[in-house]
Amino acid sequence: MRKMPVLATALLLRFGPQDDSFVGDLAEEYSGGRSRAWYWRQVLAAIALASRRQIGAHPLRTAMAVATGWATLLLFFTPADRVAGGLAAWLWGWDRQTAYQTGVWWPFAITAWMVSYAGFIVSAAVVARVYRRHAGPMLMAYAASMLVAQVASAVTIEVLSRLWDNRVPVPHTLFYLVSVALPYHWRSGLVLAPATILAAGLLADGRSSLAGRGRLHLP
Amino acid sequence: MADRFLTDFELMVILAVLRARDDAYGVAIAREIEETGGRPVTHAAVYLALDRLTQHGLVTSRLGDPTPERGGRAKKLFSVTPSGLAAIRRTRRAFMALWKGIPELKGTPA
Repeated sequence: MRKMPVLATALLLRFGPQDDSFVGDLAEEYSGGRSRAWYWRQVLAAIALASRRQIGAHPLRTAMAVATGWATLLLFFTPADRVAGGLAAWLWGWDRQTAYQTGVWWPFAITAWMVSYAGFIVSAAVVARVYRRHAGPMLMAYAASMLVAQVASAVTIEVLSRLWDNRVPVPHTLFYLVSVALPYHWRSGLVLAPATILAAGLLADGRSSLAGRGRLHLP
Repeated sequence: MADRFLTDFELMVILAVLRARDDAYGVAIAREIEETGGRPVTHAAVYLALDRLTQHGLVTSRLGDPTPERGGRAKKLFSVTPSGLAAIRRTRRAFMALWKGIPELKGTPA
């Protein structure tokens, strides 16, 4: 039997419709000669439809899951300034006061980036654990809210920086959220932050519910 | 759900179930819609429609035997219930009634 794309299948089992026959249908089609692109298209459509259905059927649960993710994230970012600064000092002997004079901010930029993604990972893990039985759609909702927030913050900062001559006051807690979507990170956070949430949630949950029932037969 | 009308996609799916007869499972149903109906579909959309039709008692399903080319997973075989047949007829009547008397569509093949 032709080997199914591993990542796509793992995503399907975790985030797709929890239906063994559906997975079997895709396996049969793929074994019959369908392309990898076809398989990925089917998997992504299945995930989108299954999530939309779950989210639409349980709006309160979805709102709670998204709120849980954001609360965890903002809580995590509260001491982030001290952590990122401390880490930069420990690794490269960086000092904030000196940085204001010398303009050397790269050590802090690196550790702040690490703290940002640590926050995304931890908050996704919390959502996956708290909403274990519905982790897939809830993580999708949280990741979607992150994408919206990243786009909104990137646009807002872009507009404000033009209006205010590149001086936009951002509360320190929010800095760790929005910085990854800024030009000096090539706006990579727009893609990487939601992707990190999904991947971290997937890993935190650690198993597919189909696999958990002993029905997973990955070829 | 005696008076339920079918959406255009549900109608395609339920007709494909009837056309596939004893082998009406996801792959065969999607193939019927694509090849006979000429409408590209994703398997997920077909399953979602089938799930909805099942919930409304318009189709039923049973599991077939697992096969190696399916990674050991069973087929889910669907069949249309008497309520489903009634819904098809009701929807067809509604479509036909709306179709009639539109000058722009006169002579258009059904």
